[in-house]
Parts: sequence; C-alpha cells; structure tokens
Amino acid sequence: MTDPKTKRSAIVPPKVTPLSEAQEGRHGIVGYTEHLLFSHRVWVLAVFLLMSILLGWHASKIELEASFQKMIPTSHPYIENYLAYEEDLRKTGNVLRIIVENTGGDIYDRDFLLTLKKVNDAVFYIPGVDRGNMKSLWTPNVFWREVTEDGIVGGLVVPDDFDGATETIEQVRRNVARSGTIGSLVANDHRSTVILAPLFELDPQTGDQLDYGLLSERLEQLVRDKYAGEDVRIHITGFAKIMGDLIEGVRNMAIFFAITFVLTIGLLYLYSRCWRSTASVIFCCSLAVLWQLGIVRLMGYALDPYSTLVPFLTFAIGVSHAIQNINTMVAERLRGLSKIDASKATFRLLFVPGSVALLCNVVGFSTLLVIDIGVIRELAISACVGVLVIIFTKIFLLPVIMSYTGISGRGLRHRAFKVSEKDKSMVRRMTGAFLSRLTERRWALGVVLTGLAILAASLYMARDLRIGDLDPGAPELRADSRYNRDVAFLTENYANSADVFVVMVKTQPDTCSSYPVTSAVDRFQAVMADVEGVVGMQSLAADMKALISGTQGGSLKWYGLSRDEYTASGATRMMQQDYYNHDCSMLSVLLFLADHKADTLSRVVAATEEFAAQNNNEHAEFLLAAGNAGIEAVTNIVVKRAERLMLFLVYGVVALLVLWEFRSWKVTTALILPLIITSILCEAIMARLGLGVKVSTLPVIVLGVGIGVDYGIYLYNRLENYLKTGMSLKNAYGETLKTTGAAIAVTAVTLALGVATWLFSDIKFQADMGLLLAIMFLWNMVGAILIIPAVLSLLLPKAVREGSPAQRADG
Amino acid sequence: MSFFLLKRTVSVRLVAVLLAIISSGLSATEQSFIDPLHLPARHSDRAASKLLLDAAVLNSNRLVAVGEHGTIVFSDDKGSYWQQASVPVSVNLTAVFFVDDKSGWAVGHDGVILGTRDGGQTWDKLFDGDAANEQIISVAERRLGAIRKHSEDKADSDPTLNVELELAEDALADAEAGAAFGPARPLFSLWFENTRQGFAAGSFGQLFRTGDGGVNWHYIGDRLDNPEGFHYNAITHAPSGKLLIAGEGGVLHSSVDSGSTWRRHETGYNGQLYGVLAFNDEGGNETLLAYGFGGRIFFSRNAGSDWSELDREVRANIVSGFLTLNGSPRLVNSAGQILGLNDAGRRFVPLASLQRRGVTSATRLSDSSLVLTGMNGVHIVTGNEAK
Repeated sequence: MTDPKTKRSAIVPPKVTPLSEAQEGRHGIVGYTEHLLFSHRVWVLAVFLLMSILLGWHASKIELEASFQKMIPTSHPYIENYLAYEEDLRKTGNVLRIIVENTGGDIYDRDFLLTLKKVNDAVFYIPGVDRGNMKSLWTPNVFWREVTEDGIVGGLVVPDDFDGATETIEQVRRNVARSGTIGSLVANDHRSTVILAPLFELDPQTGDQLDYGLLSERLEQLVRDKYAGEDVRIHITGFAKIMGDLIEGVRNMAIFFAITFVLTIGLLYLYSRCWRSTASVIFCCSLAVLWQLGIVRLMGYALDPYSTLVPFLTFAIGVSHAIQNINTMVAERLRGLSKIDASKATFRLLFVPGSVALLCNVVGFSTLLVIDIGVIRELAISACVGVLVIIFTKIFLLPVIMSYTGISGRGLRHRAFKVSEKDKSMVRRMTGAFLSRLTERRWALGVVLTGLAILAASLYMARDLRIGDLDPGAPELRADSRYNRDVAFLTENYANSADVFVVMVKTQPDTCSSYPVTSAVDRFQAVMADVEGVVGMQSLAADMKALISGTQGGSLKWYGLSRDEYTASGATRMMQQDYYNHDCSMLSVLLFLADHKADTLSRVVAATEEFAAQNNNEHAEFLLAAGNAGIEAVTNIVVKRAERLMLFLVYGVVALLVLWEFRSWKVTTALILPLIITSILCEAIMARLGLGVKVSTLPVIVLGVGIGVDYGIYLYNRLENYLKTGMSLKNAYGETLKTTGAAIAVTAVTLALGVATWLFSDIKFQADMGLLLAIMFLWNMVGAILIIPAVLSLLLPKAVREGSPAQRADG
Repeated sequence: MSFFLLKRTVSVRLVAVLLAIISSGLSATEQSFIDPLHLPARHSDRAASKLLLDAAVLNSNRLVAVGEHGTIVFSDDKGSYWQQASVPVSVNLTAVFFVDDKSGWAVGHDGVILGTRDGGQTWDKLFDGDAANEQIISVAERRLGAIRKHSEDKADSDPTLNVELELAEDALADAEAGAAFGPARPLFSLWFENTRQGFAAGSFGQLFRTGDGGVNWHYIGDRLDNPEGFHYNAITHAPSGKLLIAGEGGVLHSSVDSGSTWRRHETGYNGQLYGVLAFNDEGGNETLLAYGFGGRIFFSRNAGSDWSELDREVRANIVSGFLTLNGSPRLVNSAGQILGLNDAGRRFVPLASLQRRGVTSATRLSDSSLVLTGMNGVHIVTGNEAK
C-alpha cells in the first residue's frame, strides 16, 4: 500500500507519482533549506534553544491586563467625544461602590456604624482611591439639608460628636432621612449603605497606570475578607472591579491551558500510539506557544482576556498540523526509510503545503484588522504571530527533532494495521462504505439538498440574532458571578440602574449653568423621559430645579430652571461638582436604562441624535456617548457595521485563495459551501442561546472560517491526487477517507478540545467564544467530509467522476 | 452648624444688574437659542404623568390639569383617559382657572398667561414676562416721575419726600434689574370673577388685573403694601366677595373693592403661606384659614385683623385647601395627607393618607372625589379614599 503524500500545489499534473516525487528530492529553496537543516542538525537545535531561552524569558515576563480603552472602538467619533472628556467624567464613571450590608437589621446600629467606619478607613488607604472625593456616611462631605423659614440649614449626616449612643444614632437616622441620599448612598430599605470611591486612572504622583488586578486583590483582602462575616456582607461594584475580575479570569486560564495540554497529549497518543512522536510534537507546539508569547511581549503587548485565546489556538493549530508530520513520517518509515531520511522526506513533502496552509490562516486572521477595536486587532496580530511561529517550530524544528526520536515500533505497527485491509472493525468499514456512497449523484443530491435545507432553516432562525449583550449585569462576566450578584443587589436596593448612558453637553467655558444650556438639557430630559427603557436621569439641570424649589420652601411651583443668572449660579455653587467639569464647559446628563439590550441602546442613541440634530447650537452641543451603556451602544454600532464587512472579507479572501490554488470555481464552491452552512448555523445557534453579536463573537467566525477551510484543502488535495491517477470519484474518496479522513477528524477534535475548556471560564465572553469555536471546528469537519464529495459529484464532469476505464474495472 | 443661606437682598439685586449688563453685551450670540417661552409644548404620551401643578373642574365635568413644560391635559371621563391640549409655550404652568364650560386661563413661569375659549383644548398666549417687565418698569417710572415732579414743585426740601424719592428710585432699579434677565419671574395663581374680570399673582409681588377677559393686563402690584417684594403664592376670594392674597413672609392682603385698594395682614409668621381658605362657620361668621410651609396653619375670625396659630400635627407643607359638601374645611399637604378638624375642633389632624408624594393641589368634585396633582401627574381619588 502506498502512502499518498500531502501536496497542495497540484495545478500542474504530476509527471511522476507522489511516491517517486518523494524519493527524488528537490532543488531550489526547499532543497537548500533541507540541506541547511539536516546537515547542521546540532546547530539548528542550538539556534532554536537560544531563541527559546530568549523568547521564553520574555514570555515569562508577559503581563496580564484588562484595558478598557482596548475593548472599545476608540476611533469612532462618539468614543472620541468620550475620550476628550474622559478625565471630567471620571467622577461619575470610574467609581467603586462598596456596599456594606447589615444582615441583622438596619444600618442604625452602633456596631454596624463602627464597622462601616473601619471599612471606610480601609478603603481610604487603598492606593488608587481618590480620597478627596470619597463619599460615605463617614466622609465629611455628606450633608443633610433642611428648608426652614430662614433658608436652608444643614450639617453632616454622621455628626462630629457621634459616640454610638442611642441619641446620636437616632440623629443619624433623622439626618439620613433629610439628606436626600436614600437610593444613592443609603439603600431604600435602610439595611445597607454605600462607600463611593472614585479612582485615579493614573497615579497623581507617579503617573503610573492603575493596576486593576492589584486593586481588586486589595479590595478582596483588605475589605471583603477582613470585614465581611455573619453580621456584615460586602458587595463591590464598579468598572475597576470588573477589570480586576477579568484579570483574575485570565490568570485562571493557566489551569485551562494545563487541562487542554493533557487532553491533547492523550488524543495525540491515541492517534499515533507512539510516545516518541507525541512528545516531539507536544514539545514543538509548546515551544511555539512560548515563542508566540515572547514575541507578543517584545511587540509591547500584554495578555488580555481576548488574546489569551491565541496560545490555545497556536497550540491547537500546531498540533493539528503536526499530525501531518507524524502521518508522513510513519508512512516513510513503513516504506523502509531510515529515521533521518524519513524526516528529510517529511520536511520536503510538507514544506510547501504546510506553509501555504498556515499563510492562508494568517491572511484569514488579518481580516480581523478591519474591526476598529484594540483587543480584536491585538488578537488578530498575536494570532498571526502564533501561526508564523508554527512555521518555524513545526515545519523546521519538528522534522529535525524527529530525525533523532523517530517513531516507536508500536506506532509503526499500529499504523500498518490501520491502513491494511486487516482492520475489519465494522464501524470503520460501514462508515467508509456509507461515506463513499455520497459520491453517487442520487445520494449527493440528497446531501446537498439537506445542507441547503439546514442553511435555510439556520437563516430563518438567525433572524432572531441580536447585536450586543442581552443578559443583565456586567456582560463580561457570568450572570451568576459574584460581581453580577453584587450588581443585582445594588439595582434591587438602590434607586439607579447599573446601565448608565451619558450624554455630554459641550458649552462655552463658564456657561454650563446658564439658562440657554440648562433649558436645552431640561427639554432633552423631557424628550428622553418618553423613550422606552429610560428609567431615570441625573444632571446639573435636574439638580438645579430641585435646589431652586428647595430654596423656596420646597414648593414645586418653583420646580423649574431660572433665567436669573444669580439664582442659577447660586444654585450651582450649592451643588457638588458631579455633573460638570472644572471650567464649566461641559455638563453630563446621566440616563439610567432598564437594561443594555441592543434595542434599548439604539432607541436611546436615535432619540439623542435626533434631539442633537434639532437643538445643537453654539450654547450647547449634545454629544454622544459615555457611561457603560453609552460605550456599549457605540460598540454595537461598530460591531454591526464590521460584521458584514468582515464576513464579506473573510469569505472573499478564503475563496480567492482556494480559487488560486485549485483553479476551479467548482472546487471552490465545494469547499466554501460547508463553511457558509457552518457559519450561518453558528448564527442560528447564537440566536437560540441568546448570544448577541459582539466584540467577542465577531472573531469567532473569522477564526472558524480561516481554520475550517484547512479541512477542505487537505481533503481535496488528497482526493485530487487520487483522481489524477485515474480513479473514479467514489474510489478516490474512499481512499482519501482512509488516510486524510481520520487525520481531519483528529484535527477537528484537537482544535475543538483546545477551546472547549474555555466553556468553564469565569469570563462570560470567553465561554461564549469557546462554545462557538468548538461548534465551528467540529461542524466544519462534518461539513467537509459530507458535503465536499457530494457537491463535487454534482459539479464535476462525468469523465472525471468515473475515472479512466482501467480504474473503473478495478473499482 | 447651620450654614447655606440663600436670600434675596437689595445688594444682591445690584450684583444682578451688573451681571445683566455684562450678559446683555454677549447677547448677540443668542439667536439660535430655542426659548421655551416661544416653543409650543411637545406632545408626550405620558403627559398626564408628568409634574402637574394644578387642576380645575369645569361645569361640563371636564377636568383640566396644567404642569411642567407647558403640559395641559384634559379628561371628559373623570380621569380615565387624558388628552393633551395644544399649548403655544413650553414653560411650567402653575395654576389654571375656569369660569364656565369654555372660558379658562392658566398662568406659569416666565410671566406667562394663557387663555382658552374652547374648554381647554387649545390655548393662546395672552401675556408674558416681557410684557410684565415693561409694565412694571413703566409703573415704576411713572411713580418716580410723579414724585420728582412733586418734589420740584415744592421749593423747600421735605425729608419725607426725599425718602419717598429714594424708595421710588430703588423700586425702578429693582424693576430694571428684574427685567435684565428677561421674562424670568413666575406667576403662581389666578382668580376670575367672570369672563371679563380677573387677577393673576406671582413672585416678587407681581399682581396683574384684566377687565377684558385677559386681552389686556395691568400691573397693580404697586397698590399693595409690599416693600420687601414678597412672593404672592395664591389669590382667591371669600364668600363675602372679598379678594384675598396669601404670600411670603406670613403676609396676606385683602381687597373689598375688586382690587383697587388693598390691606396688608401680618400673621406674625415669617415663612411662606401657600394659600388661604375663607368660609363661614356654623354661626355664619367668616373664618380665614391660612396655611403654608412646614404644616403651619393660622386662623382669623375678625377678617384678618388678628391671627392665631394652630398646633402643628405634621410638618409637611400644606399646599391646598377645600370645603367638603357640608362645608367643613379640609387641608391637603405635600405628603398626600388630608387634614381635618378634630372632634374638639381645635386642631387639624390627618384624616386620610392618599399614598402620594409631592402633592401640589387638590380639587374637590361634586361627588366628593378629589383631583390630585403632583410629582407623578394627575390622579383621581374617590370620596371613600379621601373620607
């Protein structure tokens, strides 16, 4: 039994059989490289060792990060608006809410209030906290106010002389009631209270970026672990905590990698039954991961929750391609070549197809660069790096290593048994027989029609596919995560929702409280109050109305803005500078939303845009968008636009590559159709599972298509070789299945395993990516094995289908 | 520990004048500012749930309520379904008054007075703060002119005349300072005797009178003794036909000659009075009940000459008063409590709590149910709920 070779460039009909081609050796670059590698094997190993030490050192230094800026489309004009005012919005944006809950009663309790003070002090001393702007019952900036006949009187909510005695506790109770902080600082049910801690993104002294991982760790150790217990529960929410939890999630990925590692070893051994080749492959692929991480660090990148995918992919792609090395090496050894000659032959045979396949992946991945979101671009770049690195470790290094290790006798015997007719396993025979029948036109038509029916059904189901995130809470984390339970507690017991959409109103300096500005804001709020999904609002204008009414004895007949600049600026002076910037040239309007579903967000965006178009003038310019919901709204816009473009690009690029390689639109159709069915099916599954199209799911289709096309290429490449020997399509396909079919199945399972462990990640979008990628890797394989032969039998001319007469007699 | 104090003083007015002069120099850039005074009220599906400040019931049983952003809603089925009226302004409207099925008026911020002739479906602007400023200034100028002329006529300097001259000059400066911010002063209350004769009162001692159903309004604030420029929160009339005004500083004013001359009454209290209820007791004697800030209640049985304060039961602002079908007084506070006299008849105690917050007015219907307006719009409370 001969072992047909993996060969991709089959445009020129082979003058010689693959067998003799393998024996011949080649000149030109392949021959030269082969000579270079195998004549100086020790040097090669030394160079790789040196590189590995260097890059390994860098890889070990790689940092974990979760950068907010990289997760948003920074060059969208709405985000540019936000970035221009980022520092001004920090007070309301990057704030930690530490909720201290008394499990045994209300907050008007001596022990509780004293614990609260300790927690307050602990938070105060955590580096990164903007101490001056902290707010809690224990900070000297939370007042009660009361309107009296003489005007407004007020004082600290927790009086200076608080000593825990019953009278002072009653005083606190009274002060809270008239402080107007119920719903913001004190829970509606008075059983918990908030410590509000704004953060410095950059350390004011050193200018260093705040380390969210460290901050989150400190919060857990110094606050939660220390003070939470029987009587007191502590809930922590805020952007910084999400970032901290994401970093923690990335840290946990090491465990998932270890699991993937072990599973892959098992799978590889099952396939090869040879420890030597398994070890060689695992070694080379681990090296690829090390190099990839090292190079990425040298390029100045860190590991974020998205790019953590790349080491997994690099490893999986490396292993799946390396399976071809084992395959070829075994075959050559079975033909009686020595270890070193078999290795040389393997290198020679796999150099071109391997490089082309991997370069195809690179081209496919780089279509991700059209998405203007930092994490996706970094994911694309580091995935490209990963694949390029595989060229070195798998194509150059692996054959050299295997020239030392070789294949164990057991592995050789296993393979010899598998490819011989001695393997009489019923399942194997029946699958083979069944699959070969797909090349009969009757069956082929059935398969193609079924495929098209699945496509149609998927298209129908995918109509429900939504843009953006659909679950409540922080979409980055799981709905039942600690963080999201804390957010749920906050929204349940306090007035405002966690989904904040901020509209910025740009004004001339020192006029943000003037009537032309505030009256426009007031009208804007009246419009937004009618928009479904807007459940609350806060702004300088709204506060001003309440304050003006307050100074007039609380009469609601005064509940309006004043044209009188003295009244307006007097009112502004009495308010905390929460909703406008230092030179009073921007005020922010906070819209609290019922949820952050895409429909809600686009309604708010549309209403705001309409208002801005009609009302923007030189006094006040309404600008979108900030706040978590605002930024998500913009991200949705970008994602929606990018989705179409990206699908078009990735399919275009892949189809062109396939067309270029095989010079046949029929073959291209056969190879692309299963991919299209898979990606539409994937969308249908997303719609079914309630997963929206978002930053994390966008790359999935590109990765799925980019890697998925490899199956078709391997499969058709082998099939074409058989067809060229004059075999009928049916026989050629049967032969292809025996060799490449099994390898493809193993490849698919390897790739799926590589990402399946992500299902268990604490980071919601990683789990989503893992699930969808696993589905795509497996379905692409099924599609390739079933649909490619069927489409070919329908499209290829009769002469090719039936082969040469001699072969027909054989078959 | 008492700080924060915001009060108007004369020196404040001077600062205001300076600010106004500075800002008027910059006013060239104001062309594209959309002024709520000239912007028709926006239609809203939830108009009846916005901040509404006052309501009226027409003879036809139609209900009309007015409130923020020029919102006017009306209902012909006792509040089940509300329609939004067509209103030419977007400023807050604070009070509404009808004399019959068709003719009604509303007042609001920025000195706005609106009128309707079709029972509240469409409204026209009859008057606004710009016109008010013109009138107030011209009255002050006329007065100053008259005093100047008077002092010139008298050869020797009369010290009392000098004081009067100074006061008149101050009054004009005040009027100009107020006008510098444009139509900035809200009106709070109105009362019409018939389709022609009516009054509108508001902040900073504004009182206007019309004799032609609201087409022309005349400033008569100068006829009241109010050197402090106290706000007028409510204008109403007593069964005897006497006009009554309740206002800031615990001060009331009354007029027995349809507003030509006024008498000032001090309750001795220095806070806001939001209204006054006049009724005849069992003996047929007129009783005045003034109510206001912090749950304060004052009464007078001698036409306002002497006032006594009743003990306070609750401290929420009392915003509205009405008489039951059998003539007993009821007061309603901002916390949604209905107060009535206790058995001894010496105190007002809560009789019912309507579970509403931010109540601004209560109007009794013929079947004893109440129309409440407030922070969350307009609601009908049945007689049983209201007791």
